[in-house]
Amino acid sequence: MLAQSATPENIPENVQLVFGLLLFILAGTAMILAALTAGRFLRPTLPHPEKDEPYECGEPTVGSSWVQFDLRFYVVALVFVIFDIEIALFYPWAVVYRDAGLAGLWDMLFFFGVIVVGFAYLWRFGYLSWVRATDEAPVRPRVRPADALGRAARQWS
Amino acid sequence: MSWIENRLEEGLIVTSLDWAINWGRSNAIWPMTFGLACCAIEMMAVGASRFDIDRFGAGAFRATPRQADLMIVAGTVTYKMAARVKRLYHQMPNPKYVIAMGACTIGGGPYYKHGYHVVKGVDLVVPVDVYVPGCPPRPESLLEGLIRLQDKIRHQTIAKDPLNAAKEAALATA
Repeated sequence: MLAQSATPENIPENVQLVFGLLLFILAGTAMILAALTAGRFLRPTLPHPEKDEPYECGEPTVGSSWVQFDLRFYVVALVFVIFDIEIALFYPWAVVYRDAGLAGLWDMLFFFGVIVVGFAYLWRFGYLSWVRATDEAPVRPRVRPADALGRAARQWS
Repeated sequence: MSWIENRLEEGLIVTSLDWAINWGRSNAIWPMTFGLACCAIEMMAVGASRFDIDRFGAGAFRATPRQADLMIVAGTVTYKMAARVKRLYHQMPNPKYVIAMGACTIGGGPYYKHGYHVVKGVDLVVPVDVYVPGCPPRPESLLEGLIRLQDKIRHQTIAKDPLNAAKEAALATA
């Protein structure tokens, strides 16, 4: 092949795209690094031991800042996976449904089966009820006291 | 303090850099809300619409010392509070400035004679840049104090002072 100059018509389109992407990433990184470097040389550095203390509204700190994360938030993660990620993964399958054929259908049904197990867990343990408090029976004594005090309480409550 | 400070003598680069740094610092002074007593009401008035402090760039009052560069001590500083004032001042990152607002923070104010619980002036606790007198100072006075602080910031320089070298040499030999 003769040596050709690199004009936009000669560079194939996918190579153009890759170059564009690389240039974009490079420019973004360079901008951030320039700002950080300028800060590194221009900002004052006066370390002080109290500057590293955790902030507690001016009081000396009590207790550790490392507290245990409440484990019950796993329910939030589970609901997110089951609804959001499932929908997000269903969309590409729906687009290529016809070309994927029977193998695609069985594959997706297996995925859906795994999801349904999680969904059944949520449903069975009541994590899907909108307001959980009203699902429980109200706490009330089984026996109505029939004495005068009980009658007065029922009359005036 | 910074890497570039005290390295270059006065010249075009240093003065341009000075102007840029000081322009940025003086027009975006973010105060920390430190209203302790009655002066806090006047500080709130300054933050509101009539005496807008946001037109000076200082309208973003931060609740945490980590993001603030100005501590407006507005109100009487008691001995109990003085320890917290000092700790919060140390927790602010540099460059930091302090405005002592009101008579109580300047020299004890009305509590100077009989106030056994009052620190007679916040400059006994933290270094103060601008004093704003008044009991309480009018919002315009606090804005004047902010403008004075902006002037102070604009006069800062990172250039090497030739006098400093001579002084240090004299101290070293003496």
